[in-house]
Amino acid sequence: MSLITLGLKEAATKLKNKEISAVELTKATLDRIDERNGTINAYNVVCHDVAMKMAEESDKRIASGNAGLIEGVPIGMKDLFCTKGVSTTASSKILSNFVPPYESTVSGKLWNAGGVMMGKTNLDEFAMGSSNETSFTGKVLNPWDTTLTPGGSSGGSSAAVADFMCAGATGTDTGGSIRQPASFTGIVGIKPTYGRCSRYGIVAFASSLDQAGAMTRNVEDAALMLRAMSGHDPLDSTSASNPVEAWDETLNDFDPKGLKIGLPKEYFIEGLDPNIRKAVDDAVKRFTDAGAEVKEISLPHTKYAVPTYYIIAPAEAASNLSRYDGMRFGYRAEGENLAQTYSNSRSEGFGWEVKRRIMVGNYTLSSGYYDAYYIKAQKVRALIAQDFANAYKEVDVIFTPTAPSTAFKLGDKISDPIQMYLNDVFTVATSLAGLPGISVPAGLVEGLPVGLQIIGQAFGEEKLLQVAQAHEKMCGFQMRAPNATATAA
Amino acid sequence: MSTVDIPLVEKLAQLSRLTFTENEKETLQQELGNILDFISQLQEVNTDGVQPMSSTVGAASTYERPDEVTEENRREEYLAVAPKSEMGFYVVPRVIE
Repeated sequence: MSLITLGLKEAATKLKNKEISAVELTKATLDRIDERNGTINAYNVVCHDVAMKMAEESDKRIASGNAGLIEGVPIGMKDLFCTKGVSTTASSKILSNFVPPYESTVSGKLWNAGGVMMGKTNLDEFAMGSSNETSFTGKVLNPWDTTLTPGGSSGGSSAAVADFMCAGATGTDTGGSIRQPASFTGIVGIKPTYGRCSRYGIVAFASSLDQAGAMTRNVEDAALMLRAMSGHDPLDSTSASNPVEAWDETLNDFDPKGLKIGLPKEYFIEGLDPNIRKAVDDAVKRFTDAGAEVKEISLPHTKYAVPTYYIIAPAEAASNLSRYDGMRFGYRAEGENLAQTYSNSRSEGFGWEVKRRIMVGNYTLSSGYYDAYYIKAQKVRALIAQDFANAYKEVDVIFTPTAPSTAFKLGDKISDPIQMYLNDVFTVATSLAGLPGISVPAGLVEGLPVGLQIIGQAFGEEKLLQVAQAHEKMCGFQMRAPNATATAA
Repeated sequence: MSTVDIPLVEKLAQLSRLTFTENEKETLQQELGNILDFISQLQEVNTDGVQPMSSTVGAASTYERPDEVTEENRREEYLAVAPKSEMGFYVVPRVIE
């Protein structure tokens, strides 16, 4: 039996039954990381000592019958979650020396549930990017083919899960940063309803959009991990008080018969790769064969989702990132006076994509442009949310491709921001509307994984996960083997 | 809507507390121009009578707690991550001559 291929639920069960120990599982996972991380660059920091200590504690709790929900399971933590005493960089030079004095709520919940921290996973700087190429600590390679991007911004997490360097990893999703990398690496990634997971202790990008979620190798694991991460938090004023359900236990209480699936016509436009279109069509066909109904729906403002997002997200980012001034924490570059120290620290500390977004954000927020851009975008955001509300009067869930392509070549889009931004075309609308979305593998196109995005109703994670698992069973997608040779550059 | 010129780039840089080289300013002029053209598409959407949406969280979920201090004194821990501190205070460049 290979320990590293165990999923979250599978590992938790074997650990609880004392078939394996947390220490041996952790050792095997750390060995895998030591073997692979030099190539893939999925982790910014590998926590050998912390992980072994946490694993020993897990074994003690298992022995005394106090095992948590994911006791002893190896978890990768996106390097955007503050972890007390463990470096948290957001893959930015400006936080390269930052060791948080406190723990984020979501990471704390995972450790309380018994999760073992393997390390902090790489990401696009401040989660701004769709290819994990803007990271200060270097790009991440896709384990399916090392000339390709693993997606972004949660590219370290997607690569770590796909390459068996953890059983599950956290991601954050502002405009698609969980779902697109999941699609590119053949794993499952769920962004829950905005408010499900606390944002406390997550390095802020765009506060009205940022949401944490789970990235795993199957739907059941995503359900279990999300359950461990979710819940109301008094430390986040936008955190939702809706009860957290045992999503992993109700996955099978579902029959596709009578399910109403919506296919938004605006997502199946000319120019969409016919192979990706076919993967979604095949998934839909399996559902209709099982008794589901399909309906073409219209989300008329879809075309405006990306420009709306690229007003709102940079505006919020420009405000959030004003805290990096070199005074209280983070990188500082001295200048001749206070103002110069601010701008030296920021100019040396931030990378290009981050600076560009701050500039765009401050443009749309400045007087004279505020109404024409920022308020206008908030109005269009309301229309986008209304489109979904109208659609859900007729259907239960919506199926779309997760991304317009399979994983693209590293270097292909990095010099053209608009092309990079358009990669989010199928995911941003869901984020703007605050709805839950999940990407589940739907097959291979020319040897590379392609994801099906299923969009649910607000706080409809139970149904969303049930549908996702039904798809997973019918699709029969096979994850690549750990020893499969990645294509050389 | 608005063409991007170098003075605008410089004004935004000032607002953003960022400094750029002349070459970088030219690159930004180009890139910001493209991005502004792209986001200006929104002007064609009819939003008459639409309320701006700042959050997807409804008022129902607003959480209230008693107005009591919950954070304990963690001065030492916070100062420990500061680039410069002395005698229990943050050290910043001189602002009063």
